[in-house]
Amino acid sequence: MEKWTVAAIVILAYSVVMIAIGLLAHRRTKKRKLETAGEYFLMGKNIGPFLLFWTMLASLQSTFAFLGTAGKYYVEGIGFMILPLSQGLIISFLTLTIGYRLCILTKERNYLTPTDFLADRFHSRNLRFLAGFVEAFFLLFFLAMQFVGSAHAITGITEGHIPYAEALVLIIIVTGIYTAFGGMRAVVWTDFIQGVLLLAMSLTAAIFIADHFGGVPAIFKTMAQVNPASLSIPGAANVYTDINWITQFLVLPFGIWFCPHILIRTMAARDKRSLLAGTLAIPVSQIWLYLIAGPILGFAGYLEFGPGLKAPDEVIPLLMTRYVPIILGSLVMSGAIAAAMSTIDSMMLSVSQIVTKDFVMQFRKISQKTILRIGKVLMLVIVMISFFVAYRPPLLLINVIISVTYTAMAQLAPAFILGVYWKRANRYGIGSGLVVGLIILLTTNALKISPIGIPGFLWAFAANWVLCIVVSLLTSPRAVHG
Amino acid sequence: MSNREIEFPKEKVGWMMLGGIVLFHFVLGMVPWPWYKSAKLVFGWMPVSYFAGFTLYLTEFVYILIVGMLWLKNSGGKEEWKSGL
Repeated sequence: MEKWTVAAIVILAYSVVMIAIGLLAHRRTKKRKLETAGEYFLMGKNIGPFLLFWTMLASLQSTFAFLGTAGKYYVEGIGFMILPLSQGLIISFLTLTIGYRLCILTKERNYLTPTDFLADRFHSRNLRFLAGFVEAFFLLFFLAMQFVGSAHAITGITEGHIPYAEALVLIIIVTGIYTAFGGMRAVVWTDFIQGVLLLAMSLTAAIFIADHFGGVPAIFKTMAQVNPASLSIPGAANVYTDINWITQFLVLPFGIWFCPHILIRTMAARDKRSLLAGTLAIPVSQIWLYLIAGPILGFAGYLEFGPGLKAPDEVIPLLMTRYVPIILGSLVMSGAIAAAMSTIDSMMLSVSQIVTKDFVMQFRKISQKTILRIGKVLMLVIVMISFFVAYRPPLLLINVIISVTYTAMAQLAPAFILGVYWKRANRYGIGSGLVVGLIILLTTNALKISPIGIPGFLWAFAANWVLCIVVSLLTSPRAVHG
Repeated sequence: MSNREIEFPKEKVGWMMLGGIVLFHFVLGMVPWPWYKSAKLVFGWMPVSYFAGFTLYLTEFVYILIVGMLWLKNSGGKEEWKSGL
């Protein structure tokens, strides 16, 4: 049997399992008469420790964590470890503090989306619209890019026998069906399988490849002779200069945690134990993927192919093709597709959830049944939009949006953090900070400017915090709660 | 949603985590210390830069675990939610 046929069979079998889980989740919800918005979008706000660990892990780690990480180590060297180093602690801090508070309020006040908190805390529907728009807009384009990445992965694994357009349709249909039918329950259970697959397959790939190169010490020792610059900062590509290193620590972790598909998971936690398990998923997966598998595979790729690879993300697929048996190679690559799908489904559900609650439900009172119907119809609309964006990506627009997605999400940090911890914060301060921060972010990014050598995202983040505090202090204390 | 005022949290975990962030994130992580710039090998094979980053992240993980366990142990008080947690 040809290599691509084996890969196609593995992908199809995997797709069937995912759809079956979605349909089972749908059946269970219907049978137990649990068809409410809280059940569909937040799994009844009852996700236990085991599932929260896996769904956090799988939602957080996309294809990038698997294929992209190895590619980054291949090009930029050891300096890329900045990514996990800058994230774990702040994300954990936010989960145990802001996440915990949101989780409490979600249960007590029947929240459905993160912006429910902002509307409730600041008594402002406009703030809800603004924050909801930021979340949905950026996530929608980010979702489309996840489709692009996963469709390319399928095309690559099947050696082009499943072309890009067909691969895109396949991914959209599979994730669309199980997410629309099963809601959060299906997403969480598929995340479990996808998360296990991702970790298991990345480790398998690392073990096989390290063994071929004579073990991990041999890989590092050879790299030290062949390309010593890649084992230190700023690295062979001179990316991690001191200023770059410093600035990465300041904004990125906030951007990741305030992505709605991550934030919503903390709201759906059953209890403190679940939240802690969800918190631990972050360092565990970061160590596993970014600090163990990533450098081994990336450096092995460098030793094998030299510095000339045009598409560094293909380091793992290329290594698999050369050194791993067909079936195992296909399984390993299905780990990459699993990583993409687990992020896609979470994002799809979150965008549908935000548009339903933060926009549609603000204009009329509707029954639980209608909310669910709207949520599912919106899911179809989101899938269609993502398909068209992913089919022929408008590159210029996409590049701007993708490059600011995480930093745009970080703009929500002052609103939530001050909302939870500072009584004096009011809607004028939060609103003006958010608007000005976004304007600075988008302008500096579009014009590609870094005033006095400091990146625009940092100016935007700082301006947002300062305005939130100063305007809150200057405006009427009556605006604190009304 | 309710019209009741939102209570402000008093958990100690926030302060403990904040202390950890200042030490591990801002002091040991964010500053580009010389050891991140060194390509020398320790134990005969592991780059100093990688060893430093890996050790820092593992220490952070243990710290998160300890603070998290204390957070679980010290449940109770006003900040607990009313739905039986």
